[in-house]
Amino acid sequence: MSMEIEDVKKYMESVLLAYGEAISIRKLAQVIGVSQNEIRQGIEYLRGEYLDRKSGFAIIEKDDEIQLVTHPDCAIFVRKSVRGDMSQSLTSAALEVLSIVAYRGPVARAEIEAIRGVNCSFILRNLLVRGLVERIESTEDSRLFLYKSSCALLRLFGMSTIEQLPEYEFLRKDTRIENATQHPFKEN
Amino acid sequence: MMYNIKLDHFEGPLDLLLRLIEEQQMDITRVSLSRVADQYLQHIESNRDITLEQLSGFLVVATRLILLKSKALLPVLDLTDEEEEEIEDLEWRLAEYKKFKESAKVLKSIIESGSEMFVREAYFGVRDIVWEKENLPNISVQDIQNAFARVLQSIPDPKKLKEKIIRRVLSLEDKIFQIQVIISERTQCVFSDIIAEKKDKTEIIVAFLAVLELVKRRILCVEQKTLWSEIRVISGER
Repeated sequence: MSMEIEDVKKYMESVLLAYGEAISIRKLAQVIGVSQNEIRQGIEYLRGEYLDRKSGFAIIEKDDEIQLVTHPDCAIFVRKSVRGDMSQSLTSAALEVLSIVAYRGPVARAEIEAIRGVNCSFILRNLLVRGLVERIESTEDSRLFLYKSSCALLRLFGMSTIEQLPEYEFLRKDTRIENATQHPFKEN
Repeated sequence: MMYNIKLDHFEGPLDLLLRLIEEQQMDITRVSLSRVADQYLQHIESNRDITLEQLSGFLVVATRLILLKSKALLPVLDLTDEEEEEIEDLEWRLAEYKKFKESAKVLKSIIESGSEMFVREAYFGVRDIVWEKENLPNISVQDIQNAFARVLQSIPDPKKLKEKIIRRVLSLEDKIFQIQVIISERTQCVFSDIIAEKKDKTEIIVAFLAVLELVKRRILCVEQKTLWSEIRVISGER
C-alpha cells in the first residue's frame, strides 16, 4: 500500500506532536505503515514546509530518532512560559567536556580525560543528570561506557543535527587515529 | 627574559601549560614548551590546591618539560625514541586540548545566544489518551453509580480510637526558669520546695535535670549531707 507523501507528512506531524519525546524513524514507519525511506522523505517535506511558512516548529534528528521542537527564534517566549533555561551555571570546565562529547561522541571517559588532562567524572555525572549527555555501553566492551550528545543538548544549541556545530568535520577528526590508519605497521 | 605570570586558577597540567604559553602569545612548539618549563615548575611548587591525585599528572608533564629544556640548553643531547614519543604526545595533547578549549567558548556563545528549542517536557511520561468517538466504551449512568459505590465501600470506616488523657509535661526550659525565680526570691531552698506537692515522677526527674543544668551553668550550688537526705539548693552567685 502506498501513501501520498502529503498524507505521510500529515500523519507524522500529528504523531510527533502527541508523542512529544524523540521517536525512532523505525517506530514511526511502523506506526504509520510506510517505509523508513518515506518517513525520511516526510522529514524533509516537513522541514521545508516549516521553513517556507516560517513555522514555530522545527525537527531535530539524532541517531535515527526525531523530535518535534519549537523553533530557535521562539526561544525567548517559550522560555517565559515553561521554565528557566538549561544553560544556567555551565562552568567553563563543563563546557569543555560538553564540546568534547559533542564533537567526538560516542567517546569514553578516559579519552575525555586524556584531552583535558584532568579527572572529569564529576562533571560528566552532572551533565548526565541534566540530560545534556547520554551514556551508552560500548559495543566492543560492555564494561565500558561511552558518552554522546543527547536530544536535549541539540535543543540547547538550537541545532537540528549535531553536524551543524561549527567546524564539525575538523574537530570531529582525531588526527592521531587517522595517521595511525594511514600508516599501518608494516612488518616483514 | 623572564616573565612572571600569576595564574589564579588552572585546571590540570594541560590547562596550566597552555595558559603559560598563551600568556606569552606563543604557539605550541618545543621551543615555547622549553621556555615555560621554569614557570610551570614554579606554579606547581607554589600552588597548594593541587591534590595528591592530581600531582602525578602535573609531574609527568614536568619531567617532559625538563627534558625539553635540557635539550634546548644542550643541543648535543639526543632524545631516545621513547622520549621523542613522549614529547610528541605532549605536543599533540596540548594542541588537542587547545582545540576543545576554544570550541567550548564557541559553544558557550551559541548557548548564550538563547536559541534553545523546547519540547513538551511537561507531558513526558504522561501518554495522551486519544478516544475515537465511535469506539467510546459503552458505559451507562448505572455503571458509573456502581463504580462510585465500590469506591465508597473500599474506604475504611473511621473507627473511634481509644481516648487517652494527655497531660502537658513541663519542659526542662520552663523548670529551669521556675527554679531561677525561686532562687532569686529566696537565695536558698531545698529540693522538695522545687518539686513542691508534685508527686509525678516525670516532673521530679525534670526538676532534677533542671537543677543539674543550673549547677553546670554555675548558677546554683547543691549540698547533700547524707544519702537520701534533703538536697539543699543555694544560689551559685557569691
